[in-house]
Amino acid sequence: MIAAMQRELLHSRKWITDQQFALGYSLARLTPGTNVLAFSAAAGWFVRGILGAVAAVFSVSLPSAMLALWLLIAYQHAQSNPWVQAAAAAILAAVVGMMAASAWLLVQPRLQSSGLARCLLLAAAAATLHFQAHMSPLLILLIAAVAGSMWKEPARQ
Amino acid sequence: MNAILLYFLLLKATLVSFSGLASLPIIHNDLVVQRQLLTERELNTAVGVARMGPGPLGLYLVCVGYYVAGIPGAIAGCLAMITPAFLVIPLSRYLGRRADQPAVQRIIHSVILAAAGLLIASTIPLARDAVNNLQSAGLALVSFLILAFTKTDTAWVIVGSATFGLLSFAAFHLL
Repeated sequence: MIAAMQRELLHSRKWITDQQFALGYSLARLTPGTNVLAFSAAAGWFVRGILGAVAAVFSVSLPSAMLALWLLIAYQHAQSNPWVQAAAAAILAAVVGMMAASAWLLVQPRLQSSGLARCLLLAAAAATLHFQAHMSPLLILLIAAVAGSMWKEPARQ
Repeated sequence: MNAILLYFLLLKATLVSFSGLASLPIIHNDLVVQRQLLTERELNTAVGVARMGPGPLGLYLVCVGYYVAGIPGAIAGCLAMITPAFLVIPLSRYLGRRADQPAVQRIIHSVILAAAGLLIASTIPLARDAVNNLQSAGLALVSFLILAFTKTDTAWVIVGSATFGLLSFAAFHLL
């Protein structure tokens, strides 16, 4: 999605510069929430200021939000249909796989820079603290942030 | 539940998550475990339905909001999804190029790694609800492998699994 915006905003229309694109991209990864939305806000901000940011974020999110809402309402109306139930059960199983894949995709790009041991240790510690010790996720993320600020990256070979 | 309170609850989750479904463990803890406003099945359905169409991963918040508080809840969910995006503006003003500083990167990396662990921990109760026979276990495994190791769009996995569910239902009941 960001690649499509790069083509449109940077190459076809030249609304933002190369530097703005790079800055927006790295800041978007730093901004909480969904990266694509933060990137849209940054691109809108560069082009048209605060109104541009608002317009960009709403135009990226509203159509898909309305579609998702419509799908959910349609699903609720058809819920008692056994065919719909069969499809839904299969989707729910696939979603479990999707969540596990999403967790893997959070770890995978960091394997290189942080090292396998550190990645696994942090993720496993967080999972155990939450699942076994029932510690609040917010507290776990805070501990991870503090640990991260003190933990030096392994020396590059 | 009051849509405004719901907005702040969901916002708390999006404000501390940096990508993907990282907000899910907090939503799960707050709405399913602590307040019991949402069931495991509903949360799972919200994620699945939101992935049927295009859009950012955080879109499931719209469905979560709808389950908890109807249309006002869906609006609260949508706003909670987009609010943190605007933080990029003060960040670009005050942080600018310094965003690439190693110390900042280290903190973000650690938070994301912990979020991955949390996500696995919250997937377990969802899996207990949704994976209950050989077929669903196979579907979950195949979906994981496709999404983790290929660049396939999640919508195709959702459509594919739905088709598989329908076909196996047809095979079981009509043959």
